[in-house]
Amino acid sequence: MMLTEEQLTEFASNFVKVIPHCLHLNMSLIKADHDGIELELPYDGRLVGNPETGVIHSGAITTLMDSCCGLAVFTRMEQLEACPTLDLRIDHMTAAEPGKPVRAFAEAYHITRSMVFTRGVAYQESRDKPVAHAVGTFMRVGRNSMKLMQEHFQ
Amino acid sequence: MKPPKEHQGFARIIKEARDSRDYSILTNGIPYASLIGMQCMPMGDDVLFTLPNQMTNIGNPILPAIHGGVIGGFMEMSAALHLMLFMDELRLPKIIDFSIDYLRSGQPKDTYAHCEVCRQGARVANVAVTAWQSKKELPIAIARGHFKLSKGRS
Repeated sequence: MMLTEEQLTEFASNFVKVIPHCLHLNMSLIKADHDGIELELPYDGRLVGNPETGVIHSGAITTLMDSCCGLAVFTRMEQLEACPTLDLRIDHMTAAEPGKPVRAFAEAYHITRSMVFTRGVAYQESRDKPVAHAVGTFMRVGRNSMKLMQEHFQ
Repeated sequence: MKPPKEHQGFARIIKEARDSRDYSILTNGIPYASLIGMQCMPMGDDVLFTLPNQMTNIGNPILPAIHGGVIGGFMEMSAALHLMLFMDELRLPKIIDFSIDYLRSGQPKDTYAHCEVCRQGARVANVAVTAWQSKKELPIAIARGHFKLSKGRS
């Protein structure tokens, strides 16, 4: 049986508060269900990559998408497992507009015994006007690896 | 070719960094670089990018390990700065896409990155980045990305 949406929501909302770098960027959970995960990254002057335009650096998008794709892994799982990122590719459609938050939506579109394949978008106005597209592959390393993490998140 | 007026401020910083080889003015001038704490130092004719260990960059508090997004952001910023320092680029190059392969978990210690421009055309540059901790022969991540250059247009 898959994790319930309540379990997913609880895990994901704790995740963004417990992971030091997510907390540092004030990331928050918007929605977690079996379709996918939605996170939000507020605009912050500390994230600016180009001081002349005020546009946030692509690295902030990479962090948002890695976190969102990493959480999306659990939407297809029966229990919590540690799943390190194998690879992550981001295509940048356009610069994120300064002053506005960036949202991310990611889904796990295929899962095997050893791998989870995810994809997602970063957007501001609406999901069909993406700022960036992401594809990430995660490795499953077994359920025992997650026991410690589970305790930590509770 | 003279850069447009609005870019002269940052262009001056880049020129100053190139001439003095004091690259701290560059990293200090970019909020995101300061946020993750990255630095850039001369290494012969080349440069070495460093990401000193800091608690706020952690993505897995159990292992512990550096957030994959921070490693990605560090490598993206390294590639962009490398282009500005060596490729006669007076603006922060725009990222088109970036693909990261994570090879080992980033332990909570100092991380280094080295960039190589694989191809530079008039409009686009392809940059490969290697990130390591204990030995360059044992990279924690390798990445490649495309950047749009400002050459040939104002």
